[in-house]
Amino acid sequence: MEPTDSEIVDRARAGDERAFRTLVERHGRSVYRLAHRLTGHDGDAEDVAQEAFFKVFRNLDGFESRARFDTWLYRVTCNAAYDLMRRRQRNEARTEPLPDGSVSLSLTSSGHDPEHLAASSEIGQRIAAAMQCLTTAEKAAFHLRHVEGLPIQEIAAALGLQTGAVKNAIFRAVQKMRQQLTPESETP
Amino acid sequence: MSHPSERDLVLFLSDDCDDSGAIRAHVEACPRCRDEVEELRRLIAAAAASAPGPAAGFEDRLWQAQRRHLALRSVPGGAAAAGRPPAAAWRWVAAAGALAASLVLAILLGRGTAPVMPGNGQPQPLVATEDLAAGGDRILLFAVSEQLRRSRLLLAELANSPTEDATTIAWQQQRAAALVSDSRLFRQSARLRGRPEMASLLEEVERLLLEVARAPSDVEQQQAWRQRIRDGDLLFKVTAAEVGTRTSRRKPSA
Repeated sequence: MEPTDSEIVDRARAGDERAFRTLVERHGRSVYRLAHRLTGHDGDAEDVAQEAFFKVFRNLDGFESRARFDTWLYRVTCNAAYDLMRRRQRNEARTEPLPDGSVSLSLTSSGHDPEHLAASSEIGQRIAAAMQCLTTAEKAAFHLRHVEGLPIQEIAAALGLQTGAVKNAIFRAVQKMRQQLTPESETP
Repeated sequence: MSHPSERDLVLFLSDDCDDSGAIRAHVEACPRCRDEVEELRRLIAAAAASAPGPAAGFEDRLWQAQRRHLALRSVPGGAAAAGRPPAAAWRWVAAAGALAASLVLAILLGRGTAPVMPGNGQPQPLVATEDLAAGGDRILLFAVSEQLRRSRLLLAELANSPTEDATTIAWQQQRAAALVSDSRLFRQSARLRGRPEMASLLEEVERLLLEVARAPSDVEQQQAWRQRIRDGDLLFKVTAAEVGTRTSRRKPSA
């Protein structure tokens, strides 16, 4: 049977390098996906993922094993994404405009699998554009519920919200996307 | 039961509805609500599927950077600079203080950096012994100075020596990718050591290098890169920062 996250965290605390690596391999992609959902940019998502793991490993001693490791990691990821986006605003950093003038979409600017890009061409881009209308909390709540499958209580812990606020955020996310995509909302 | 609200249906599909049994029974019996549920289900599925995964090699890059970061923090003063005493979890890195400096050097030596040749023609080590002993700040300055030097060389090539040779362009892209990988580590370390201006410049250079590394290997892209370098005055900034880090390194440690 595979060790639980708590068991691996205990080994990492004891200095087991392989335990650190296991945590990275187990959660790295999920962290990246969440970071990309929030930042909308490949490079920023990698930066946020790096920052999140730096912070988690630096503060591993303070983590309570009874809590869920992934919830904590997602919380740190969200905060790292917020920090990056605030720094961008402060530095008035240049973002990459798309031909239509919108920003932060990166479906065609990465080394992604071409088949993925082709499959997500129209509906994927429309959904990505619709997501730009969501707040960061709405994006995070929707993503954690419907992509990572976290229970509402864990999402509340990850985002620092009450469960009622999480439910509202998920509802508003779907409502806004639906309004943006009306009259079409077929799956790819 | 009256028709459930849109909110009820969304939460029903999110498996977090207080009255899921009644809603399910209603949906099964009501064609209008059944259609709405199906529409919402397709939307949620499409939105969930739109989350992109990372590019190839992501986990390796992530782990290598984490590993280097953990080792770099073992440099004398590293943990204290971060405001925390070394803890049990860092025993395996705390015991490798000299190894941390060596890892930074290994990054540099592995890129083929030539040894420095002073006036007497005798080869010198890339870093003086006193640098290794002086602590994390000097090692960081040295590492960043080398990073800026290599970045400057590549930026100068991109800006001033356009080429149509696909092999050369591909080689430039490989160098850019390697610089991006190292830059993230140095940027994080600079931020930890309270050098936000250094981190900001590294970030600015890194964004361009990332574009270079990921763009298609064609001549048209070079025009865009040259323009970006000129528009951002990047060569001047990088050169000035490189000189600044070298000057800081020569100052006696406190």
